[in-house]
Amino acid sequence: MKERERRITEGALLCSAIVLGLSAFALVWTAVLPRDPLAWLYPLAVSFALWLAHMVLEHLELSADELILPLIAVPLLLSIAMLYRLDRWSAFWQVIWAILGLGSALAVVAFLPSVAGLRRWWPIFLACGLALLATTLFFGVEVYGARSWLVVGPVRFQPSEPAKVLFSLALAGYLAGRKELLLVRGWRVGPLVLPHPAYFGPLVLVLLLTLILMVGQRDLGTALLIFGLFACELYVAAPRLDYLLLGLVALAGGGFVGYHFFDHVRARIDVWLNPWSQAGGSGYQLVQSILAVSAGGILGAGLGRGQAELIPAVTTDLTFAAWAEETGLAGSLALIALYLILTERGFRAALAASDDFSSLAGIGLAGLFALQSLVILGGALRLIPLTGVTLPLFNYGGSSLVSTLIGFGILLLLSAEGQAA
Amino acid sequence: MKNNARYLFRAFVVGFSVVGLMLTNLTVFQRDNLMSSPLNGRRLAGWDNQSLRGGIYARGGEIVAETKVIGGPRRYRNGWAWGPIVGYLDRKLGATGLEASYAAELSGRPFLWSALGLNFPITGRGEDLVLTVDAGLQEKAMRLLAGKAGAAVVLDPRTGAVLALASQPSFDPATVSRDWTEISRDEAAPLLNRATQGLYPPGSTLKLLTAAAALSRNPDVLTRRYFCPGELKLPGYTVHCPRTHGELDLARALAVSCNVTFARLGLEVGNGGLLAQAEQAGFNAGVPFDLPVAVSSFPRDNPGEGETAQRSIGQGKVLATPLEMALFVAGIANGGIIMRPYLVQERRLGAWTVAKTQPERLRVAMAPEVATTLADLMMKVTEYGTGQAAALSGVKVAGKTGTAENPHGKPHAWYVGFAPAGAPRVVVAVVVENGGSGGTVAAPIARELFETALKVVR
Repeated sequence: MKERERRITEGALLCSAIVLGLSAFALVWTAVLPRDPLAWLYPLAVSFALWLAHMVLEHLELSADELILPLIAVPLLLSIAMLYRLDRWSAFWQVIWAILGLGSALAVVAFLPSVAGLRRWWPIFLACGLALLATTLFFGVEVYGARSWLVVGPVRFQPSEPAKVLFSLALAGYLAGRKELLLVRGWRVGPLVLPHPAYFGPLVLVLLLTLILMVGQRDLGTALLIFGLFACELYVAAPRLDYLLLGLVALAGGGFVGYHFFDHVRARIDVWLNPWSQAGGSGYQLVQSILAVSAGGILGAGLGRGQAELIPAVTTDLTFAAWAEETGLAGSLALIALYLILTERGFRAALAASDDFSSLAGIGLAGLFALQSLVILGGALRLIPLTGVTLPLFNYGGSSLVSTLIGFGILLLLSAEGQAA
Repeated sequence: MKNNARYLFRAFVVGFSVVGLMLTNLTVFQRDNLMSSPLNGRRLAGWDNQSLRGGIYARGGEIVAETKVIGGPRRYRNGWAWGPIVGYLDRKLGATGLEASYAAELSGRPFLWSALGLNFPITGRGEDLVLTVDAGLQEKAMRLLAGKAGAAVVLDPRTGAVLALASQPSFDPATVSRDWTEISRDEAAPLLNRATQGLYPPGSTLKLLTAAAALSRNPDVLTRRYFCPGELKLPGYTVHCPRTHGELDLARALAVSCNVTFARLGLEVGNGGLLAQAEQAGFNAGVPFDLPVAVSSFPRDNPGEGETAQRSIGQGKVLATPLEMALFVAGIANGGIIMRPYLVQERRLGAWTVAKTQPERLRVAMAPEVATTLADLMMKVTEYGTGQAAALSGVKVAGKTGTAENPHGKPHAWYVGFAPAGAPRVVVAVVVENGGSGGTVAAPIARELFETALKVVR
């Protein structure tokens, strides 16, 4: 497809996304009292920023993927509407972060000469990522039992969010040069054949270090995501079943050790196994999430007409449950379909890349997005234990939003390179 | 590498599909269950901000609970008498009773509409409920049990319409949130609806079931002569009678509530026969009702003679709710047929009747001949047996008392019966926890209830 046609498609889709987002906001705005006319600036500002992003892509004449921007626009605008209804102050900040994030993503697309060029920086990314995680150990503030926040004046910042993006790049950099070596046989342990420790060792070391940091911060969701990220990239770079099995064994072992030695892990798992028996206490959040989703029925209570205030941490973790209550099965299936398509566009961009590093980085970023979505969606529906991670692009959370958008900036650039090649 | 990336993507497709399936499961298949769960009470209470909650009215039209403005307070008349039926409704505490089980209708969003996807109030007002319960009778039943722990069920055996459903100690829905700390900590459990959720050993009232099982298998037991030496030694258990009854027939055995005779009959029928009769009467199965009902149980095991003998006199591992015992007796009164019990007679939206409950058969507890025979036997309990305190002048009463041993102190006092014996219009079941003798404690309460109830139903 010609670059011009791509941008026309993008513009048309973005228009419909904006119309959808503004209609959702209009519904919420009418339903929730008192009505604040100035609040219209929120969705309008984000729509304007999105349109600007579209114009910049047009101007740069890159043949970047035409679906990514409109697909991002939908959850972004819907989240402004949902947050306005749940907590207006959060909505205000979400607008600021969205604009900042879109700006950063465009900066990546416009000023980064190529994704492949990032490869040699991988040790720096790794160091920065670890440093970010470590800062919370020393300066971190505890929120909902997880010590994973930094507070600077009025701004709360979650260093693990950018760290996840940095790790996906660092890991891609490490693996891209070593994937043949990782396939070399080393130790033999029973039926398993482990790779040579000289190649595999550093990887395990970094993974362990990260997980220790995360356990130290009691941030299980992020620990799970980083583990998943490693598993995804390693599986794609060095396709050996042993690794996959080893990873699953490690996950089960980690879960077992966590269950027996850490109270907060045990509490999460117990609630997951039987939330109803502790519905008034530790199971309250999960039970309310399930009841909210169920209350939605097929078409939902209508935007702004649900009772999301009953769900604890609804803005940061469980906005999806509120969405499901108000738009029902129809709305929530549409939203998860959109997330799946967005994941597919990410994988497509990654596969089109000509070098290993770009491919792995793309798969890491898209995989991280999908994994994180699944971890919180599965948690909210009691498919897996509930952990406090955000649904990317939809929950309130500045660091998460900016990091996710930068990730999509890299994917946009990747898709453009793939087309050019 | 590219192939692996494709497999990975497929794994994500599977992941998102599982999320989609779980969403469908929760919003479509489990919705009715989850929405009427007491845990959902706060959402149910919150629905009232969007529509005018419907009122609840007694049989004669008396106001039980009413809301005047959207989102306004719920007002009750004589709330103290209605806790076990209406339940409570509160923003913080949630909802129970009819307020919970009819939450959707009362808030104007019946499940039929939501099944079509219309999950919001359409008319702006909820439906009113008209109950089968008589206000005077309900208040009387609650007053008769006041100061005791126990329950009473009064129903019309011909239709299943519940005329009163009392449980004490209780709570007043109007003040429940103010008194919450006290109520929730009270060891007497005022929030427990003993009529539907209380599981008690039925004691001698279960001899009716043993008799039904024996009569169905072998009608000769009616004409047979029995001998009671005062006790019956069995492996593991000895059945005692308070005194030696000597030679007697089945009518006399029921009238004086002879343990030895009914233990022998029970052993003759066997645990299997008793179990079959119990399950025919609704044991081990839920009762479809407007309020949640605990399942009365008759164990499906293969016990020794001692335990079988105990079960045939309502001890051992048999447990029943007062509602279940009322339904079983209603079966006897109604020629063997148990009608489905109901509390809500009609749902109205303004002047329009949305739905009217049609009486329906729930199960056949026994053959009509067995029912008639049992009714005759029960009349004699009132004439010259343990149930004389339930006798009314001018109306023949059929009944059976029970004095159920239990590990918590004095025996539970039971009475079940119906009147008039020839053409029954009213069934009563009364239990007083640790009240003592059924004949002296429960039967007089039943008598008062018969007297009032017979004036209500013609």
